[in-house]
Amino acid sequence: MSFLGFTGLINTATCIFLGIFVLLQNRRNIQNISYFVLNFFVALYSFGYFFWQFSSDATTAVAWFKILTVGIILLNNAYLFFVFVFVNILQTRKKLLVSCLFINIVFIALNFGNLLYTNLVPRYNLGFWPVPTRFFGIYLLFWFWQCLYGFYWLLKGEKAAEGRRKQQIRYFKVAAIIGFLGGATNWPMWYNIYIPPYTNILISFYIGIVAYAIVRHQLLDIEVIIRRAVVFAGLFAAIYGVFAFFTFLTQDIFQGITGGNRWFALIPSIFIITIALRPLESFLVNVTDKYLFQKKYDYKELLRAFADDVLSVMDLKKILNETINTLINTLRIENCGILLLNKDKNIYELTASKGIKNKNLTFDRESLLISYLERSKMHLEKNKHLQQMDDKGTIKEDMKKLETELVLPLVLHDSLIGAITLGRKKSGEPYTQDDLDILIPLSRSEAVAISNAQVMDDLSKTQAEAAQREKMAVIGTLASGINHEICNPLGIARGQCEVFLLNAKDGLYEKRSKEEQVYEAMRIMEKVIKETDRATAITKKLSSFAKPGTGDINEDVNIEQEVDEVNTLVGHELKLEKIDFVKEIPRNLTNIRADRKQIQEIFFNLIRNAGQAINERGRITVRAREEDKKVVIDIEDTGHGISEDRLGQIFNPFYTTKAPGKGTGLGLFIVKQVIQRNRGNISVKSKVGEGTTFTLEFPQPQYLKI
Amino acid sequence: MNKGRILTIDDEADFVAIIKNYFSLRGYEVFTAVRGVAGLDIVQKEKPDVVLIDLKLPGIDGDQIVPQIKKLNPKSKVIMITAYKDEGQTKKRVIEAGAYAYFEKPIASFKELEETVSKAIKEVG
Repeated sequence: MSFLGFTGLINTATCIFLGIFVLLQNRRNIQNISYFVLNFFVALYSFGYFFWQFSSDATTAVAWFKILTVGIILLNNAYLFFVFVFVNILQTRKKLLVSCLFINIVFIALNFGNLLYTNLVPRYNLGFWPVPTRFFGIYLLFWFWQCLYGFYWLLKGEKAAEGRRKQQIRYFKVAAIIGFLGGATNWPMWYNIYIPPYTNILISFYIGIVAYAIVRHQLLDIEVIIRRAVVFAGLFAAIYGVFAFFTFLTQDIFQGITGGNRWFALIPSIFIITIALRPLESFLVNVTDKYLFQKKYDYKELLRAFADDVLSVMDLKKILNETINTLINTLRIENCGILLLNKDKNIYELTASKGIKNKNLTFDRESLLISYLERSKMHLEKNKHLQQMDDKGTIKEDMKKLETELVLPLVLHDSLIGAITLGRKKSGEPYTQDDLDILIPLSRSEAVAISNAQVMDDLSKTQAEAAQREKMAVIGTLASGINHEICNPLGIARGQCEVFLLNAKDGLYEKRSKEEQVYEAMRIMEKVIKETDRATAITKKLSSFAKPGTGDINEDVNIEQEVDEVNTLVGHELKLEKIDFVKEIPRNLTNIRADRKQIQEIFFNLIRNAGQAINERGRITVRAREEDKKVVIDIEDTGHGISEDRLGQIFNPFYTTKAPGKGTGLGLFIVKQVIQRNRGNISVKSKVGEGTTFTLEFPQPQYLKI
Repeated sequence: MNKGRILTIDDEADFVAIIKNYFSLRGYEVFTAVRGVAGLDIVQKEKPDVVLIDLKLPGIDGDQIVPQIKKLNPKSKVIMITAYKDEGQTKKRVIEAGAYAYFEKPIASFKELEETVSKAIKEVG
């Protein structure tokens, strides 16, 4: 009986089983398809391997060996295919993949033409082994190159990926190394080097690791819910199988000792099983809990995730979403939601949720669910508390709407600011006391974090209002420039008309023909229209600038366009001060994602400040470039500069260097707030007497996590 | 019939055209410039009787241009025209700088402007 042959059979069965399982999960997903193809060829190889090893003569061995070689050749191609799909580079590597396939087909042809190996000879009592040709040497190099190239992309993909994806790629990487190492131990035998390829069984480990990663880390985005009982039974059977095997092996020995009655051999096994049952059971519970079901062990992870991702965040929306994601992922629950008190309306709204069908649920204070939470300030568990209540009807209905099994109140200073609703666990298990021991203190911290973020949220609204007020004030100071921009065209329009009328009244056109007079009138009217359009355009720009932003920080913003917009408003003022305005913005500069109006405000403030820093004659340069995942914009003036001791204070509120009445001092403070809200940064460099440069940085959109 | 020689300097080409249209039809010889420097060249070459000039020209300050014009042609009368309204302070300033008269844009009455121009030309003689 050949152990090697059996490794082939086991590999075939596991590969086919897992391949089909993955394919059935999603028959249209290319990732699943490529994984199935890979497993199919591994299975083909293993299937050939099994029969080759069991061949009793060289002729049969050759026939099976040709089939297994096809498997070897194509499984590598399928491996590259899967890796390209897995790390998302298939689109750019299609040609390479097809080229490899072409080369591999040539090698298959060589295989069938007896050009890879000449014949099979028995070696070391391990069956028939091939005698390689030179072509085979070339193939071997190509085989290793494909392994390493795929591995290189797995490493690269792992480095670039984040979170769960990184974990998934890591698992497949380890599985691939083990599988390939196992398979590669067959090669030395070809060259008559005696390394028995028993590790061929490692190919099964590859399957095992992938299967584990599917269950535990949703590899290939497959979510498997395995009931504890099934896993338990499986593991139990496996362990008992080992005992049975042990019994089977010792039978012969016992037969000798007890003189023929092989049933005696069962006695030690039964004895061992009886003694080991309890400790074995608790060992299995621990192992399955730890690795397949996330119980206490992962609470460490939950607490860590909370401390790192949730409680340190100041943005309310982000806190809510992070909380929900963290709870869903670590508790492995079907849904989660957060109800928050809307103080204006005095109702509790489902502010954020995942997996709950009705996303717009609201509950008023009088609803039984809320009044229960408000009164008791205790968690509410569907399976436990509801049974003890007299009037459980409506509470049950509220909980049904929220699809929740456990509601945790969010209490701060003895008042209910909201609640976290947790859905059913995917494993179907109820919440335990262990769960509550962690979740209840966690909900207390959550209440503090939410409350802090709400304060910040209100504050940022106040800031936005301050920015708007400031803008209106600034527009007031622009009046003279704007007045000029509007009065000039209107004055010219009026002048054209008046002069025409005066000329006509004074009889100065009398010498001209009627046609000439009409032509003159038309010329003037065209001018009038042009000038009134000019005045209209400026008022439109002004009123558009005065409007507050949309609050959407993901608008597509073209830097040059916004600088030009601002220039139409301040350009005249600068021209009068004899300040040159220079724009050095590359045509193909990446657009940023920000609130367009707010970007205008920022440029407006900085360019105008720059103008005010220049006493007489000078230059303002707006320069933009792309640098290190960012769009960087310099606003440089040749003004009086800012001394070092003042430079540190300029972004403070109410700090101003302007004469009393000229500035409120909110300018740069607001500018900084607005920039930060748009995920940007501002810094300043200055030299007294030479000028000041403000540098703005915004992330390029492709590097934004939106 | 030549009633006199006028130079108008304003960065608004349309404004310059209106002045030219009005005065040339009424028998004045009108020179035009949209830049201060070009205007000063004309002052030197053509020695106009009256210079109508925008107070705020890019590149040259209206206050300083009056002495410059006077230097190039002491006989020229300078009439300031501007769109800025600041309750007579600017007017006072430019008159002190040596300007003959001061008008606000838009020109409320071309007749009045013509009267001032013709009066100035008579004074030049």
